[in-house]
Amino acid sequence: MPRHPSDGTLRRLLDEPVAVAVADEDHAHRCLRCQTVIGRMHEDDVFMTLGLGENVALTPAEVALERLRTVERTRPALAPTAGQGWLAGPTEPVRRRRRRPLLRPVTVVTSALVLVGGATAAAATGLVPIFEPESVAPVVIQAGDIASLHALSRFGRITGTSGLDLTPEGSASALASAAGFAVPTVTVPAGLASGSASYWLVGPESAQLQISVMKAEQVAAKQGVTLPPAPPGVDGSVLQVATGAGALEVWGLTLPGGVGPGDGLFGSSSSGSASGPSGQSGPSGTAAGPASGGAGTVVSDLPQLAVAEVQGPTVSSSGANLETLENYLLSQPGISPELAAQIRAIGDPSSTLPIPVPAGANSSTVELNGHVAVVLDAESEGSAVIWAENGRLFAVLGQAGTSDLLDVARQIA
Amino acid sequence: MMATVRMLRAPGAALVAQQARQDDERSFERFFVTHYERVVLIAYKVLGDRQSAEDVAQDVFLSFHGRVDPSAEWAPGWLWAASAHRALNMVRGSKRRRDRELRVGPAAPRPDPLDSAIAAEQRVVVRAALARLPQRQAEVIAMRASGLSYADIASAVGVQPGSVGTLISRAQKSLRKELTRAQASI
Repeated sequence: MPRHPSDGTLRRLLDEPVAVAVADEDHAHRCLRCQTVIGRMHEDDVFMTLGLGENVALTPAEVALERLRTVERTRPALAPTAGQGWLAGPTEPVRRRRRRPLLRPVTVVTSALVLVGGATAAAATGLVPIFEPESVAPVVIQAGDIASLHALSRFGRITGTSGLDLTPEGSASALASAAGFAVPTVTVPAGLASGSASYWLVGPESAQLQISVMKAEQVAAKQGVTLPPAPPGVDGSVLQVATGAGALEVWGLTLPGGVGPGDGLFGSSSSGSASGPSGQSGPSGTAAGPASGGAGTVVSDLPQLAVAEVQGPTVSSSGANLETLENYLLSQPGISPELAAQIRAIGDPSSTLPIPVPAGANSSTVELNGHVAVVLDAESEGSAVIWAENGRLFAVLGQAGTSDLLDVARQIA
Repeated sequence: MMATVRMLRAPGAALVAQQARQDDERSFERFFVTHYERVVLIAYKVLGDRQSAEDVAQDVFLSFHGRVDPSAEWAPGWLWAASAHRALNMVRGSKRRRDRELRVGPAAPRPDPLDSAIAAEQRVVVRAALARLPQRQAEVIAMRASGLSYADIASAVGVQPGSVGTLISRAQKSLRKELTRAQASI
């Protein structure tokens, strides 16, 4: 039985059937499951048509044009100024909207990228590696949890959160040379992405949380909560996330806005850099489109496809051991019991990397050539497949459906 | 000598500039007449009010005129995205205003026989749900409802036409969820 056409293809079959491949059309007409999906889409159409009303008689364009001319004459500030030049189009460098940390699949991968392991960094600081992932598991996080991840600073002092450092590389081989490992090569299925890939080196980073019991108690006291005594050794312990080099290949995104600076494990940071390929500089570009508060543009939120490989994340600690620190942090007010329970429910906390699942996204685990992979489907935002292999973390994400992304992932795993 | 050359060249340059401006204006007028109706319709799908939709269209063209090259391939897409974006901003702003008014005190009831009509009520509910969707999802739905093709929507939101079906499908799914959620909370 051939695989089902994606929902997007079925949607287009309703709207523009001529544009759909004959094989997909034949399948859809014979398949009960596809017919059910199409039926539901048709119901949505009917409701949307009823809900958004019928077309109305409008003022003729010529009359509207004359009105516009009148406004421009009476309000000169609105009239075009001679010689001011045209705005650049969406193919030019553009400013992208700022996105909330950890809310989108691309940011989930960003978080994973920030988690890139650096055993050498740990050794250099005398920290003991306590976490090297061998597998991944989804952990559902809600808005409040996102806030609490960002607010880990209330438990102590966070240093070194400089955000992602992305450097454009001219080719896969240049990226491999810079990263120090062979980057994954994939054959992009037809229709999944267009154009050539851009290549990015993800620079090494590290972030440390030095726990201060006094600070945590003061913050809790402001919320009217009295904390139980902290376990011995917790106060002053340092939890470090060290990152090494990573490789990122992106198709169909003008700028690396999805992986912009400031989207780190501990939330937004104050510095970082992200410059575009071929010397394009993102924030300095001309804002051409209306898509985001007047300064945004007509560009996609997600790349059509992105493939990332990062050195396996290593979390290290000094002082108390991981279990003690984890229990201490997760028992704090502001972290929901659901999140705490799910993190604890992961079978082997010393080797399983929790992948945050944004609220509203669907998650599942699949077997991927012998590895456990987390599949995220965040509705309009896109999909992602993430897995760990031999101490390295891999991710495939984009606008396509999960089945298409899994096809790409199988080429790598 | 240089001054003489400048004096000789100045009238010619002025004439060329004037001619260019006239060409630009004619180009803009043709563009306006071609796309005006679609720009209004997109805004109308979000707002449900003809006058407000025409106001949005006027604002969009005021922003466009002299700043975006009408002959640019992406210019129509710019307009469509701008129309949906501004209309959504307007409806969200209205909601905020209504919320503020409700906090101050309820307005006097305004009898309107249409309010009791199911269809009208349905439109209000759907538009309210639309305004709560993520920006791009709401824009895609408004564009599709106004009759834009997949290729047109693709140019407006900056994706491949092959991805538009997925965007629409997911946007409608979100709208359905939002409506279900709104219904459950009543």
